[in-house]
Parts: sequence; C-alpha cells; structure tokens
Amino acid sequence: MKTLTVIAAIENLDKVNTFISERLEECGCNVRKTLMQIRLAVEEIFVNISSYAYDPTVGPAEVRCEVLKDPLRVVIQFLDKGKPFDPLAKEDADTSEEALLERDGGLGILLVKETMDDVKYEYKDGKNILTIQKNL
Amino acid sequence: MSMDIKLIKHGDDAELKLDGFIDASNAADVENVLMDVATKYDNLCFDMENLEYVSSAGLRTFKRIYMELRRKSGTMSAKNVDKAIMEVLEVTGFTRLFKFL
Repeated sequence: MKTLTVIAAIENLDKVNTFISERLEECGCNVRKTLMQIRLAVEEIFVNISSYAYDPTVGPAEVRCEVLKDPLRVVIQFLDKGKPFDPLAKEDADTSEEALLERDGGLGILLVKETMDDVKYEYKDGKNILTIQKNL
Repeated sequence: MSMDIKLIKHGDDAELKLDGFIDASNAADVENVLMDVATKYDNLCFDMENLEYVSSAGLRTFKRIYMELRRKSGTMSAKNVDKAIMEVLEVTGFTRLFKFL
C-alpha cells in the first residue's frame, strides 16, 4: 500500500489529488464519473481533516491508497492524530431548501457516503482512521 | 485559479460559461468573481458544459450566489449539466436552487 504524509491543510489538496490519480492511472481506470466521485470523496475527507482535526493548530494526515482485484476496487485510508471524531455518527444532512440555506456543513460527508461503495471509521492507537472503497 | 469564466450579457440577465473546476482550493476566488456579476444582474444562467468538477466548497459558492439573486427576486439557472455533476446536485438537494434550461 502506497502512503503519502502531508500537513493537513487545504494548500496540500493538490498533492493528495495527484497521489491518488497516479495510483488510479497505474491500474488504467479511466471512467470519468468514477474518477470524479473518487476525487470528490478524497477532497471532502481531506478538507474535513484540514479544517477540524487539529483546530486551532495543525498536524499531519496520512493517506494510503491501494488498488485490489476481484472485484477491481480502490481502497483509500485517511489517518490523523487529531481529536477523535466519527464523521459517520451524525445523521445525514437535511437537504431541504431551508436547511440548505441556513447551514454550510454536512454535505461533504453525505457526498462521500452516497458515492463510495463502502465507508468505515475507527479510532485506533490514537488515530482517526477513515477507510473508503470504490469499485472500479 | 483553474477556472475560466466567460460572461455573456443579455440585458438585465447574464450567462456565465464555466470552464474548469471548483474545489476547496479555488472556491473563494471563484465566488468573488461570480458574486461581482451577481450584484450587477437580476438573473444568472450558468453554462456547465465545461465544468469538469464541483465539490461541496463549490456548492456553497452557488448557494451564496443564489441567496444574492433571491434577495432581488432574480433566478439562478443552469444548462448543459453533465450526468456526474447532476448527481452531485441531486444528492445534496441543490437541484432545488437551479432552474434547468
């Protein structure tokens, strides 16, 4: 499994995107919609870690990526040593018009849940570990 | 900022052709440009044919534009929305904010 460690900050989103797209290129995945959904899930999770995990300080995020066979799928893990936080524990965001206009949060994790085939959270050895899986 | 925006004027209305993507790294810059247009026109139409990607950060930008237009009873519409982008709008309820042409 290949690993990238960066400071969890929005300036590093490009590095994370590049790291993931290189892994997907290696396996020849070129379905536009699938690539877009993976980019979306990766951004939403990385931005959440960058915004909240170490707030008000900063810290590292580790991103692991592996392409597996039978069925062909990508598994991506995000690890941080910030405050324990299970993004899956909250109820799905309310998407009525009034709720949309009143609040800014919750849409990112909703998009992750809707576009990925599997999403898991665990807190282990002082780390938040979020694992997403998408069939290719 | 990885986003090219072309403005076409139709009287009090404006059409904006978006070419590129809106993510967390450029959403604030894109919003500044779009908001500047939204304050000058009553109705905005986004041509999304060349919008390759939008994340929740980009959706928040559209939301603020919508609120500015609604304040003056204007409308926000979209055309040439591709399937993958449409799914993002559907899942988040953002289809409610656009009129689709």
